[in-house]
Amino acid sequence: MSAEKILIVEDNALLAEDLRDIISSYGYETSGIADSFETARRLAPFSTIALVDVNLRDGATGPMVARYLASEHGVAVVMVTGNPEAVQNGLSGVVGMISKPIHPPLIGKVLIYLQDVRRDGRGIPPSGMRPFA
Amino acid sequence: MVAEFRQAGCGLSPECMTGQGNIMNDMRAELGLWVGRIEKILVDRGVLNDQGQLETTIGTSLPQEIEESLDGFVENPIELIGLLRIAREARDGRPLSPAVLMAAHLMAREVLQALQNGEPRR
Repeated sequence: MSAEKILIVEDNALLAEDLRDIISSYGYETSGIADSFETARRLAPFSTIALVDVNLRDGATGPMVARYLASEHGVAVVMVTGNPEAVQNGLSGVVGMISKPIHPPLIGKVLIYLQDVRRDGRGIPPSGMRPFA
Repeated sequence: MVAEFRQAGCGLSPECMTGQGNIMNDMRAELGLWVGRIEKILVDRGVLNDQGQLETTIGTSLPQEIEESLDGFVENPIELIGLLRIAREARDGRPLSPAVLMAAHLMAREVLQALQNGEPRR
């Protein structure tokens, strides 16, 4: 089991639980599921990596959540969204973006990449993920 | 489901575990049946192509009559595809946690009923 703690920021309960299953199948532990900025803020101190949707229960607050997690808690963040236009210009401090619908093997590769980035400061982004500059 | 077993005094005995496994298998079978029906309706109504993928004409929102039928259950095509993917994986035998299986089972039933209620009368 990896030492990383993965925060899922997703307001669709089914997709969030499925993502938790997928993450677990790759040997990672989740710190929790957040469906809004407030719940993400509470789970942030216990998280090292986050997968963040754009549209949440409290509106399109995903980008704000992502920037907060990265800047205030040093969390390695990747956006996971069906609305890539919303983050097409990138987000400060956020590593990159993948599009929904999710593909479990890509989630596994993204987690390995984020682990490398946290450990070594660099890594090779998987194809299917758009890195932000 | 797990909570129901606990409330009924069902622990980790072989009988209870077998019962729980049977219920999960039943849910998986129902989910497989329902996803086939959902796919057929969505193909007939031009949302999915013959391969079960979203039609290229579908953008970020569902056709209005489908959106109205599914109001409150599914908000956009991505969520619908997410549900179909999980249901297909359940049908095809991918191991799913009880939480995902139960959530998918509940949502697929509601979506199927909503689509059937919204079908044009013949």
